[in-house]
Amino acid sequence: MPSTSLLINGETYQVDVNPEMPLLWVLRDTLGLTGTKFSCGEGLCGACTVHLDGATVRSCVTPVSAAASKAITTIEGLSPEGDHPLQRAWDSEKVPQCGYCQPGQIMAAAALLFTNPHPNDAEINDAMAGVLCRCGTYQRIKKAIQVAANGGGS
Amino acid sequence: MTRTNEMTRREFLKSFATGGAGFLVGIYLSGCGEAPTLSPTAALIPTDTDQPTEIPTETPTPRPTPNPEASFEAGIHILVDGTGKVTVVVPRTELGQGVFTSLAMVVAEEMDLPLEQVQVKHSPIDGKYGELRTGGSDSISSYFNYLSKAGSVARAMLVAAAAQLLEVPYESLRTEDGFVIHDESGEAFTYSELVETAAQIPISDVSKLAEQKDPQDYQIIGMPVGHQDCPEIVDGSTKYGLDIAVPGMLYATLLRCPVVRGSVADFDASEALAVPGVRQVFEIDSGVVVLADNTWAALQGQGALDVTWDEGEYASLSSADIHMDFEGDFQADSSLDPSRFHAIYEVPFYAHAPQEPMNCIADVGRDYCEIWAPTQNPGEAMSNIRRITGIPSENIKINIPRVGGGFGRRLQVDYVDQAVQISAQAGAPVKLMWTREEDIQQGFFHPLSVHYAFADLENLEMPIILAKTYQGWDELTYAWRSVTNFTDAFVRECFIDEMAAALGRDPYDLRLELTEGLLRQVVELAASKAAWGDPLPEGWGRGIACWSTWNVTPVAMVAEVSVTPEGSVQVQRVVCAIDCGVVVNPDMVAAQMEGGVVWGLTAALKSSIEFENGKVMQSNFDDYPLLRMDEMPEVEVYIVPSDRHPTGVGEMGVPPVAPALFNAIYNATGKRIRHLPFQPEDLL
Repeated sequence: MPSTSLLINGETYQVDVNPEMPLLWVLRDTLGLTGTKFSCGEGLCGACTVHLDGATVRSCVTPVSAAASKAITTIEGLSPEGDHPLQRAWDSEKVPQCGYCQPGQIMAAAALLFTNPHPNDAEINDAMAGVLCRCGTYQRIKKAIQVAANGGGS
Repeated sequence: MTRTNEMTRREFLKSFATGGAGFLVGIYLSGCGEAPTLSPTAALIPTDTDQPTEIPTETPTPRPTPNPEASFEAGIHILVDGTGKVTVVVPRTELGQGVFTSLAMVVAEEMDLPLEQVQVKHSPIDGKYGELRTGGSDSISSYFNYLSKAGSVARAMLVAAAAQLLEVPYESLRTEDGFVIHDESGEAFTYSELVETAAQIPISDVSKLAEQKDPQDYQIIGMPVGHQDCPEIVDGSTKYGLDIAVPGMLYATLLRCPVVRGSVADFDASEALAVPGVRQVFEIDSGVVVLADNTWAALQGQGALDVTWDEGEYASLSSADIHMDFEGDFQADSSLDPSRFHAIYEVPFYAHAPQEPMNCIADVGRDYCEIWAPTQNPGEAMSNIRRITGIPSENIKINIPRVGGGFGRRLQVDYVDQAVQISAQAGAPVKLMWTREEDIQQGFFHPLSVHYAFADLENLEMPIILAKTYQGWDELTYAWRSVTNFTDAFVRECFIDEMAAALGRDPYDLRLELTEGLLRQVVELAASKAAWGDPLPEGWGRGIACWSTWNVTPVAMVAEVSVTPEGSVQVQRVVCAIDCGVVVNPDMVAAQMEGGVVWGLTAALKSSIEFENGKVMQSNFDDYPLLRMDEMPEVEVYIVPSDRHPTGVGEMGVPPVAPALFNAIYNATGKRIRHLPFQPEDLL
């Protein structure tokens, strides 16, 4: 199998995998980066959201070959100490319940704030409506994004 | 709430002195008789007098050295280790409902420990710890008293140890924030300094001294606290079952018959085996297994399988037929007087669809078995593993990680059984993962039901409701968050609204007449917080509903909706009032109510499971959609102050949602909807 070079969270990895394999399974099974979650496998729920060159993609439907020339950021690489303003706001607003979708929620929110540091309500809805939470933490997610955008989160 | 656990003994004593300024000196100056002996550490405390503190010349109390190897148990649920950290074990699973954090609060409260020092874990799989099952929203109500008492005993053991070391009466000591303090002498020990001594004291000597706190003195119970492991959740380091890997593990998929509970007639593995990375293909009783080097290869192999199915007993199962039959039965029932005020309501099948799909790692050897299973029911998993493998319980180890949502689905252990069968047959550790499609199509469903409600409008009382429910419990259907409460609340509360309309009464007012006690109290609270009766904008409507789930936790909700002329519904606001007894963690109560609202709205507005010819017509989140952020109403939660024994909250937010919403839609449009879920054509 051809070797693929991947730049993930600032580090270079060589992986020998089928180029068709979704990035999700390379991250999880090949590299052990399990913060990125599997939930629907069809790009419908956003649990597997990562960044390619700063923009969100659904890694469950992104072939690894499409990520080869891009800078990949996963939840593990969002901030070295896990203290990204959104991560701090998620803590201060007590967002998670089961927590399974939250890495995807945070990655979607981080991409939003990267391009739009002060989103309004409708812009938050637009950016986040594709990331599902079965526990129903949406109200707190929205609040945490607003808190992070306003420089809060302790 | 953040409390530091980094506080050193000296810092603590400083803050102690500052907090009660001149406290030590006060004793010194006003004390009758000799000045108290100050320990060397205490002597360093600055005082607010100009007098330099005398360094005592008497021999100070010898300080115990913390022994990290030491530990003691206060009953079977609490272990205090030599560093002063406390581990609490309960036979309960953390599924997102927050029981680990909330039960840690109960123990931290009674032990006078910073919450960070207390961690809750799942107990070993042994009935001595209690019922090995997380369901019925009963974790707090089952363990509150027990852990309060055990926590107070643990604290008493530490106090008794200090009393022994200081040779002072037990009663002369108090505890605060992880210290046992002797005010008279100013001496204070950290709990870690006392563990080794406490471990030598028979629990029977101190248990009678242990006193549980007066709820008035609670400092931790009643505080809003988020999940203790939130930092690990948000940085992605939490390991859910699906994230765990064990050495030599193969990745498994299991293809089952598209007709529920059908079986394999024949299969051809050749194309699947040709997929790179696929190692083995074989049959177990529920389907065809593909084992591969990674998940992707296992999924590819599954896609390449050629299977002939035996469709089995459900081959003609059809939701529409069952609805029609049940409704026909009511229509044909001559005992039901059609002239009486009545209505028929319909509830579909639903799937649980937790975000983490079903999965289990199993490592089955000749005489041992270890599994990693996101389960709500390890007791049943244990007995099934014994039955499947013949391995005795003492050689079976069940690990339960944090779970990505349960909602009743993981009370069934079908996926555990399968992983164990697969590992035994493969002779290797395996990780079985279900796809989302399998989760939605092959699970245990909330049962379809049809209901006939009637009432005598002349002699007002609660309506009478007859139900026909699809039979197949534990085979095809099972518990789904709030179970029958969801269904019964939907029917009763929608029908009370119909009664109110028929009588020309206000629906809130009628509920005040039909309810009493705690239920009536939450109805009043929700209505008052929602400003029931205040005018709403054009096109908006307001609805109310109430229910006491499992007859322990009354909840009332007022929903406000806006409906466009085209019939598009947006839920604007849901006001919730709940009485769950003593509130251990108001944040978890609010979170569960918020989650219950989202669960209820998803069931009312978004999705259902429909069978045709034994197959589930839905497959993933495109045709089994969940509520999304842009559809999320503002949710407000109000908790009735109470000194009742704590009840439960996990399921309790669900039942009133759908009826409050449908009643609000009626209020906005004059249209009655008597079936779940809402269909756009309902408002045409």
